[in-house]
Amino acid sequence: MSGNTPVQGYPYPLTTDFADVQDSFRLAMAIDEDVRAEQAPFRAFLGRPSFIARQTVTGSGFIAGSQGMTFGAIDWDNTGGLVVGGSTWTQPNSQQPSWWLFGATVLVSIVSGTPVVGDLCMGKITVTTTDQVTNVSTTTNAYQRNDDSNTNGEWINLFTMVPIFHGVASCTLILNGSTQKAVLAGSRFWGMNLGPVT
Amino acid sequence: MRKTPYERIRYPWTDDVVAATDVQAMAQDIDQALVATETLGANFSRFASVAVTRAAVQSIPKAALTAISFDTAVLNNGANSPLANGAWFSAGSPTRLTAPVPCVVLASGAGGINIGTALGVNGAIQVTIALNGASGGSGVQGEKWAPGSTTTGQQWTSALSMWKLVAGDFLELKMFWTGTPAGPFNTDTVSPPTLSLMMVALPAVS
Repeated sequence: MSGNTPVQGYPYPLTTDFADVQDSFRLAMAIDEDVRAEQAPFRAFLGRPSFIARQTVTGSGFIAGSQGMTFGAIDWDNTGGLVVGGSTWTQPNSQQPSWWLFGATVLVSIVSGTPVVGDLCMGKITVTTTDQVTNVSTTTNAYQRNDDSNTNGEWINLFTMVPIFHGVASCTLILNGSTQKAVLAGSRFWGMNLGPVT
Repeated sequence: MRKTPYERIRYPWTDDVVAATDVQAMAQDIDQALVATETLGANFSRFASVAVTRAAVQSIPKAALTAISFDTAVLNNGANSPLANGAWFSAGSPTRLTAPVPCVVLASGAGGINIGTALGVNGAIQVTIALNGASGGSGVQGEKWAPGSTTTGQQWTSALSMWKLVAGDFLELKMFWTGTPAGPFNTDTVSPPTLSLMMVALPAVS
Protein backbone atom coordinates (compact mmCIF):
# COMPACT_ATOMS: atom_id res chain seq x y z
CA MET A 1 0.00 0.00 0.00
CA SER A 2 1.09 3.52 -0.68
CA GLY A 3 0.57 6.75 1.09
CA ASN A 4 0.03 10.03 -0.72
CA THR A 5 1.63 13.40 -0.17
CA PRO A 6 -0.83 16.02 1.10
CA VAL A 7 -0.64 18.61 -1.69
CA GLN A 8 0.20 16.95 -4.98
CA GLY A 9 -0.93 13.48 -3.96
CA TYR A 10 2.29 11.76 -4.96
CA PRO A 11 2.26 8.08 -4.02
CA TYR A 12 4.97 6.76 -1.77
CA PRO A 13 5.62 3.38 -0.09
CA LEU A 14 4.64 2.94 3.53
CA THR A 15 6.96 1.32 6.04
CA THR A 16 4.82 -1.81 5.93
CA ASP A 17 5.47 -2.17 2.21
CA PHE A 18 8.75 -0.44 1.72
CA ALA A 19 10.62 -0.55 -1.56
CA ASP A 20 7.96 -2.01 -3.78
CA VAL A 21 8.97 -1.47 -7.39
CA GLN A 22 5.41 -0.46 -8.29
CA ASP A 23 5.53 2.40 -5.83
CA SER A 24 8.61 3.78 -7.50
CA PHE A 25 6.96 3.46 -10.88
CA ARG A 26 3.84 5.30 -9.78
CA LEU A 27 5.84 8.02 -8.06
CA ALA A 28 8.05 8.60 -11.10
CA MET A 29 5.10 8.76 -13.47
CA ALA A 30 3.16 11.15 -11.24
CA ILE A 31 6.08 13.53 -10.93
CA ASP A 32 6.77 13.29 -14.65
CA GLU A 33 3.24 14.27 -15.62
CA ASP A 34 3.10 17.12 -13.15
CA VAL A 35 6.43 18.60 -14.21
CA ARG A 36 5.45 18.39 -17.84
CA ALA A 37 2.14 20.08 -17.10
CA GLU A 38 3.88 22.88 -15.22
CA GLN A 39 6.17 23.42 -18.20
CA ALA A 40 3.26 23.54 -20.66
CA PRO A 41 2.56 27.29 -20.63
CA PHE A 42 6.25 28.08 -21.03
CA ARG A 43 6.59 25.70 -23.94
CA ALA A 44 3.41 27.06 -25.50
CA PHE A 45 4.81 30.58 -25.43
CA LEU A 46 8.30 29.71 -26.64
CA GLY A 47 6.91 27.49 -29.38
CA ARG A 48 4.23 29.98 -30.38
CA PRO A 49 1.90 28.52 -33.02
CA SER A 50 2.91 30.10 -36.29
CA PHE A 51 3.49 29.41 -39.94
CA ILE A 52 5.19 30.77 -43.06
CA ALA A 53 4.09 29.50 -46.48
CA ARG A 54 5.59 30.37 -49.85
CA GLN A 55 4.44 30.18 -53.45
CA THR A 56 7.11 28.49 -55.57
CA VAL A 57 5.62 28.60 -59.06
CA THR A 58 4.20 31.73 -60.66
CA GLY A 59 0.48 31.44 -61.30
CA SER A 60 -1.28 31.52 -64.63
CA GLY A 61 -1.86 34.96 -66.06
CA PHE A 62 -5.25 36.60 -65.79
CA ILE A 63 -6.65 40.04 -66.52
CA ALA A 64 -9.62 40.42 -64.22
CA GLY A 65 -10.74 38.39 -61.24
CA SER A 66 -8.80 36.76 -58.42
CA GLN A 67 -6.10 34.19 -57.88
CA GLY A 68 -5.19 32.50 -54.61
CA MET A 69 -1.65 32.14 -53.36
CA THR A 70 -0.65 28.48 -53.58
CA PHE A 71 1.77 27.04 -51.05
CA GLY A 72 4.52 25.23 -52.90
CA ALA A 73 6.79 25.26 -49.88
CA ILE A 74 6.33 25.51 -46.14
CA ASP A 75 9.16 27.51 -44.63
CA TRP A 76 7.86 27.08 -41.11
CA ASP A 77 4.76 25.55 -39.53
CA ASN A 78 4.29 24.18 -36.04
CA THR A 79 0.49 24.22 -36.32
CA GLY A 80 -0.03 21.42 -38.80
CA GLY A 81 -2.43 23.73 -40.61
CA LEU A 82 -0.62 23.91 -43.96
CA VAL A 83 -0.50 21.43 -46.81
CA VAL A 84 2.00 21.67 -49.65
CA GLY A 85 0.03 22.47 -52.77
CA GLY A 86 -2.84 23.94 -50.76
CA SER A 87 -3.92 27.55 -50.57
CA THR A 88 -5.45 27.82 -47.10
CA TRP A 89 -4.18 27.57 -43.55
CA THR A 90 -6.46 25.73 -41.14
CA GLN A 91 -6.48 26.47 -37.43
CA PRO A 92 -6.00 23.33 -35.30
CA ASN A 93 -9.32 22.14 -33.92
CA SER A 94 -7.76 21.75 -30.50
CA GLN A 95 -6.92 25.44 -30.27
CA GLN A 96 -9.11 27.65 -28.15
CA PRO A 97 -10.48 30.91 -29.57
CA SER A 98 -7.35 32.91 -30.23
CA TRP A 99 -6.06 36.16 -31.63
CA TRP A 100 -4.00 35.69 -34.76
CA LEU A 101 -1.91 38.08 -36.82
CA PHE A 102 -1.83 37.20 -40.51
CA GLY A 103 0.32 38.86 -43.13
CA ALA A 104 1.51 38.46 -46.68
CA THR A 105 3.65 39.90 -49.40
CA VAL A 106 1.97 39.35 -52.75
CA LEU A 107 4.46 39.80 -55.56
CA VAL A 108 2.74 40.52 -58.83
CA SER A 109 4.21 39.03 -61.98
CA ILE A 110 3.81 40.55 -65.43
CA VAL A 111 2.74 37.65 -67.64
CA SER A 112 2.07 39.40 -70.94
CA GLY A 113 1.65 42.84 -72.39
CA THR A 114 2.80 46.20 -71.12
CA PRO A 115 1.13 46.97 -67.78
CA VAL A 116 -1.15 49.97 -67.78
CA VAL A 117 -0.63 52.53 -65.05
CA GLY A 118 -3.63 52.62 -62.74
CA ASP A 119 -4.97 49.14 -63.48
CA LEU A 120 -6.43 47.72 -60.29
CA CYS A 121 -4.03 45.55 -58.34
CA MET A 122 -5.04 44.47 -54.87
CA GLY A 123 -4.17 41.89 -52.22
CA LYS A 124 -6.72 40.30 -49.91
CA ILE A 125 -6.44 38.18 -46.78
CA THR A 126 -9.58 36.22 -46.06
CA VAL A 127 -10.24 34.78 -42.61
CA THR A 128 -13.20 32.61 -41.68
CA THR A 129 -14.08 31.85 -38.08
CA THR A 130 -16.73 29.76 -36.37
CA ASP A 131 -18.93 30.89 -33.50
CA GLN A 132 -18.43 28.59 -30.53
CA VAL A 133 -22.09 28.59 -29.55
CA THR A 134 -24.05 28.84 -32.79
CA ASN A 135 -21.46 27.19 -35.02
CA VAL A 136 -22.13 29.89 -37.59
CA SER A 137 -19.17 30.80 -39.79
CA THR A 138 -18.30 34.38 -40.60
CA THR A 139 -15.70 35.73 -43.00
CA THR A 140 -13.68 38.92 -42.83
CA ASN A 141 -11.36 40.38 -45.43
CA ALA A 142 -8.36 42.66 -45.24
CA TYR A 143 -7.22 44.53 -48.35
CA GLN A 144 -4.25 46.48 -49.62
CA ARG A 145 -4.53 48.14 -53.02
CA ASN A 146 -1.42 49.16 -54.95
CA ASP A 147 -2.51 49.88 -58.51
CA ASP A 148 -0.18 49.17 -61.38
CA SER A 149 2.76 51.56 -61.74
CA ASN A 150 4.30 49.84 -64.77
CA THR A 151 7.63 49.59 -62.97
CA ASN A 152 8.39 45.91 -63.44
CA GLY A 153 5.84 44.34 -61.13
CA GLU A 154 3.93 45.39 -58.03
CA TRP A 155 4.51 44.46 -54.38
CA ILE A 156 1.58 44.27 -52.02
CA ASN A 157 2.22 43.98 -48.30
CA LEU A 158 -0.84 43.45 -46.13
CA PHE A 159 -1.73 42.17 -42.69
CA THR A 160 -4.64 41.81 -40.31
CA MET A 161 -5.33 40.79 -36.72
CA VAL A 162 -8.41 38.72 -35.99
CA PRO A 163 -9.91 36.51 -33.27
CA ILE A 164 -10.63 33.05 -34.68
CA PHE A 165 -11.93 29.65 -33.64
CA HIS A 166 -11.87 26.63 -35.95
CA GLY A 167 -10.80 29.15 -38.56
CA VAL A 168 -9.16 29.15 -41.96
CA ALA A 169 -7.14 31.85 -43.67
CA SER A 170 -5.93 32.48 -47.20
CA CYS A 171 -4.45 35.18 -49.42
CA THR A 172 -5.59 36.32 -52.85
CA LEU A 173 -4.51 38.64 -55.65
CA ILE A 174 -7.30 40.65 -57.26
CA LEU A 175 -6.88 42.29 -60.65
CA ASN A 176 -9.00 44.35 -62.96
CA GLY A 177 -7.20 45.76 -65.95
CA SER A 178 -6.08 45.12 -69.46
CA THR A 179 -2.95 42.95 -69.30
CA GLN A 180 -2.21 39.55 -67.86
CA LYS A 181 -0.59 39.33 -64.44
CA ALA A 182 -0.32 36.63 -61.75
CA VAL A 183 0.92 35.82 -58.25
CA LEU A 184 4.70 35.62 -58.56
CA ALA A 185 6.75 32.77 -57.11
CA GLY A 186 8.31 33.99 -53.89
CA SER A 187 5.12 35.48 -52.50
CA ARG A 188 4.61 34.56 -48.84
CA PHE A 189 1.70 34.16 -46.46
CA TRP A 190 2.30 33.94 -42.73
CA GLY A 191 0.51 33.95 -39.40
CA MET A 192 1.23 33.87 -35.70
CA ASN A 193 -0.83 33.23 -32.62
CA LEU A 194 -1.02 36.23 -30.31
CA GLY A 195 -2.82 34.56 -27.42
CA PRO A 196 -6.21 33.35 -26.30
CA VAL A 197 -9.43 35.31 -26.53
CA THR A 198 -10.71 35.57 -22.99
CA MET B 1 15.75 0.91 -15.09
CA ARG B 2 13.13 2.46 -17.30
CA LYS B 3 12.39 6.12 -17.98
CA THR B 4 9.24 8.18 -17.84
CA PRO B 5 7.98 9.47 -21.21
CA TYR B 6 8.51 13.22 -20.79
CA GLU B 7 11.21 14.16 -18.35
CA ARG B 8 13.00 10.81 -18.66
CA ILE B 9 12.99 10.13 -14.95
CA ARG B 10 14.54 6.74 -14.25
CA TYR B 11 12.61 4.23 -12.19
CA PRO B 12 13.24 0.58 -11.30
CA TRP B 13 11.44 -2.01 -13.31
CA THR B 14 12.94 -5.45 -13.25
CA ASP B 15 14.07 -5.30 -9.62
CA ASP B 16 11.87 -7.02 -7.11
CA VAL B 17 13.09 -4.69 -4.46
CA VAL B 18 14.06 -1.10 -4.99
CA ALA B 19 17.74 -0.58 -4.35
CA ALA B 20 19.21 2.56 -2.87
CA THR B 21 20.87 3.33 -6.21
CA ASP B 22 17.47 3.22 -7.90
CA VAL B 23 16.12 5.84 -5.54
CA GLN B 24 19.25 7.90 -6.02
CA ALA B 25 18.88 7.81 -9.83
CA MET B 26 15.24 8.80 -9.61
CA ALA B 27 16.01 11.64 -7.24
CA GLN B 28 18.73 12.96 -9.54
CA ASP B 29 16.40 12.92 -12.54
CA ILE B 30 13.64 14.67 -10.61
CA ASP B 31 16.21 17.25 -9.63
CA GLN B 32 17.15 17.85 -13.25
CA ALA B 33 13.52 18.02 -14.35
CA LEU B 34 12.88 20.73 -11.79
CA VAL B 35 16.00 22.61 -12.89
CA ALA B 36 14.76 22.46 -16.49
CA THR B 37 11.41 23.82 -15.37
CA GLU B 38 13.07 26.66 -13.49
CA THR B 39 15.09 27.51 -16.60
CA LEU B 40 11.98 27.58 -18.75
CA GLY B 41 10.29 29.81 -16.20
CA ALA B 42 13.28 32.15 -16.05
CA ASN B 43 13.55 32.41 -19.82
CA PHE B 44 9.83 32.66 -20.39
CA SER B 45 8.88 35.68 -22.51
CA ARG B 46 12.46 36.94 -22.63
CA PHE B 47 12.66 36.91 -26.40
CA ALA B 48 15.23 39.22 -27.92
CA SER B 49 14.19 42.33 -29.82
CA VAL B 50 16.04 44.95 -31.78
CA ALA B 51 15.25 48.26 -33.50
CA VAL B 52 17.71 50.25 -35.60
CA THR B 53 17.35 53.47 -37.53
CA ARG B 54 19.22 55.63 -40.02
CA ALA B 55 19.28 59.05 -38.42
CA ALA B 56 21.53 60.68 -41.01
CA VAL B 57 20.52 61.18 -44.61
CA GLN B 58 21.27 58.32 -46.94
CA SER B 59 21.30 58.84 -50.68
CA ILE B 60 19.23 56.35 -52.65
CA PRO B 61 20.13 56.15 -56.36
CA LYS B 62 17.47 55.66 -58.99
CA ALA B 63 16.30 52.11 -59.72
CA ALA B 64 18.73 50.49 -57.29
CA LEU B 65 17.49 48.41 -54.38
CA THR B 66 19.71 49.93 -51.70
CA ALA B 67 20.45 48.52 -48.26
CA ILE B 68 20.05 51.07 -45.50
CA SER B 69 23.15 51.53 -43.37
CA PHE B 70 21.97 52.01 -39.80
CA ASP B 71 23.71 54.44 -37.50
CA THR B 72 21.51 54.21 -34.42
CA ALA B 73 20.53 51.18 -32.37
CA VAL B 74 17.39 52.17 -30.51
CA LEU B 75 17.10 48.73 -28.94
CA ASN B 76 19.51 45.83 -29.13
CA ASN B 77 18.82 43.51 -26.22
CA GLY B 78 19.80 40.18 -27.74
CA ALA B 79 22.85 39.86 -25.54
CA ASN B 80 20.64 40.13 -22.46
CA SER B 81 18.18 37.55 -23.65
CA PRO B 82 18.88 33.99 -22.49
CA LEU B 83 17.07 32.86 -25.65
CA ALA B 84 19.44 34.75 -27.96
CA ASN B 85 22.69 35.14 -26.02
CA GLY B 86 24.03 37.52 -28.60
CA ALA B 87 23.46 40.94 -30.10
CA TRP B 88 21.54 41.24 -33.35
CA PHE B 89 23.14 44.51 -34.45
CA SER B 90 26.82 45.32 -34.75
CA ALA B 91 28.16 48.63 -36.01
CA GLY B 92 30.73 46.64 -37.98
CA SER B 93 27.94 45.34 -40.24
CA PRO B 94 25.67 48.38 -40.22
CA THR B 95 23.10 47.14 -42.72
CA ARG B 96 22.43 43.83 -40.98
CA LEU B 97 20.43 42.37 -38.16
CA THR B 98 21.96 38.93 -37.69
CA ALA B 99 20.24 36.08 -35.90
CA PRO B 100 22.37 34.74 -33.01
CA VAL B 101 20.30 31.56 -32.77
CA PRO B 102 17.68 29.69 -34.80
CA CYS B 103 14.38 31.47 -34.35
CA VAL B 104 11.20 32.77 -35.92
CA VAL B 105 10.91 36.55 -36.06
CA LEU B 106 8.36 39.20 -36.87
CA ALA B 107 10.09 42.05 -38.71
CA SER B 108 8.83 45.54 -39.42
CA GLY B 109 10.46 47.87 -41.93
CA ALA B 110 9.59 51.48 -42.69
CA GLY B 111 11.18 54.36 -44.47
CA GLY B 112 10.60 57.61 -46.27
CA ILE B 113 12.18 59.11 -49.36
CA ASN B 114 12.23 62.83 -50.03
CA ILE B 115 11.14 63.13 -53.64
CA GLY B 116 12.56 66.43 -54.80
CA THR B 117 11.16 66.08 -58.30
CA ALA B 118 7.93 64.32 -59.19
CA LEU B 119 8.40 60.72 -60.31
CA GLY B 120 6.15 61.07 -63.34
CA VAL B 121 3.73 58.52 -64.70
CA ASN B 122 5.94 55.46 -64.30
CA GLY B 123 7.15 56.02 -60.77
CA ALA B 124 7.22 53.92 -57.64
CA ILE B 125 8.83 53.71 -54.24
CA GLN B 126 9.48 50.57 -52.29
CA VAL B 127 10.50 49.31 -48.86
CA THR B 128 11.63 45.73 -48.47
CA ILE B 129 12.97 43.40 -45.83
CA ALA B 130 15.62 41.18 -47.40
CA LEU B 131 17.11 37.90 -46.23
CA ASN B 132 20.85 37.29 -46.55
CA GLY B 133 21.43 40.00 -49.13
CA ALA B 134 18.70 38.89 -51.52
CA SER B 135 17.50 41.38 -54.10
CA GLY B 136 14.61 39.38 -55.53
CA GLY B 137 12.46 36.31 -55.17
CA SER B 138 11.18 34.95 -51.88
CA GLY B 139 14.16 36.41 -50.01
CA VAL B 140 12.73 39.88 -50.37
CA GLN B 141 9.35 40.86 -48.97
CA GLY B 142 7.82 44.28 -48.80
CA GLU B 143 5.66 47.00 -50.22
CA LYS B 144 5.79 48.98 -53.46
CA TRP B 145 3.43 51.72 -54.51
CA ALA B 146 3.13 54.64 -56.86
CA PRO B 147 2.78 58.19 -55.55
CA GLY B 148 0.85 60.56 -57.77
CA SER B 149 2.70 61.47 -60.93
CA THR B 150 3.08 65.08 -59.79
CA THR B 151 3.64 64.37 -56.11
CA THR B 152 6.75 65.70 -54.40
CA GLY B 153 8.08 65.69 -50.84
CA GLN B 154 8.39 62.93 -48.25
CA GLN B 155 6.79 59.63 -49.20
CA TRP B 156 6.73 56.85 -46.64
CA THR B 157 6.28 53.12 -46.98
CA SER B 158 6.15 50.30 -44.45
CA ALA B 159 6.08 46.52 -44.51
CA LEU B 160 5.61 43.65 -42.11
CA SER B 161 7.00 40.16 -42.62
CA MET B 162 7.76 36.98 -40.75
CA TRP B 163 10.85 34.84 -41.17
CA LYS B 164 12.30 31.57 -39.95
CA LEU B 165 16.01 32.12 -39.46
CA VAL B 166 18.97 29.93 -38.68
CA ALA B 167 21.91 31.27 -36.72
CA GLY B 168 23.87 33.63 -38.93
CA ASP B 169 20.99 34.58 -41.21
CA PHE B 170 20.61 38.33 -41.53
CA LEU B 171 17.83 40.70 -42.46
CA GLU B 172 18.29 44.09 -44.11
CA LEU B 173 16.03 47.04 -44.89
CA LYS B 174 16.27 47.92 -48.55
CA MET B 175 14.71 50.92 -50.25
CA PHE B 176 14.03 51.65 -53.88
CA TRP B 177 12.55 54.30 -56.09
CA THR B 178 12.18 54.76 -59.81
CA GLY B 179 10.67 57.34 -62.10
CA THR B 180 11.49 60.13 -64.53
CA PRO B 181 14.05 62.11 -62.45
CA ALA B 182 17.69 61.12 -62.46
CA GLY B 183 17.96 61.40 -58.69
CA PRO B 184 19.39 60.44 -56.33
CA PHE B 185 16.94 61.16 -53.51
CA ASN B 186 17.57 61.22 -49.78
CA THR B 187 15.93 59.26 -47.02
CA ASP B 188 13.83 61.11 -44.47
CA THR B 189 15.46 62.23 -41.23
CA VAL B 190 12.38 63.28 -39.29
CA SER B 191 10.86 59.81 -39.45
CA PRO B 192 13.99 57.88 -40.40
CA PRO B 193 14.25 54.45 -42.00
CA THR B 194 13.70 51.83 -39.31
CA LEU B 195 14.04 48.08 -39.15
CA SER B 196 12.76 46.38 -36.03
CA LEU B 197 12.14 42.78 -35.15
CA MET B 198 11.44 40.49 -32.26
CA MET B 199 11.82 36.77 -31.83
CA VAL B 200 8.37 35.24 -31.61
CA ALA B 201 9.09 31.52 -31.49
CA LEU B 202 11.85 28.99 -31.13
CA PRO B 203 11.85 26.11 -33.63
CA ALA B 204 13.43 23.81 -31.04
CA VAL B 205 10.56 23.97 -28.55
CA SER B 206 8.01 21.20 -28.71
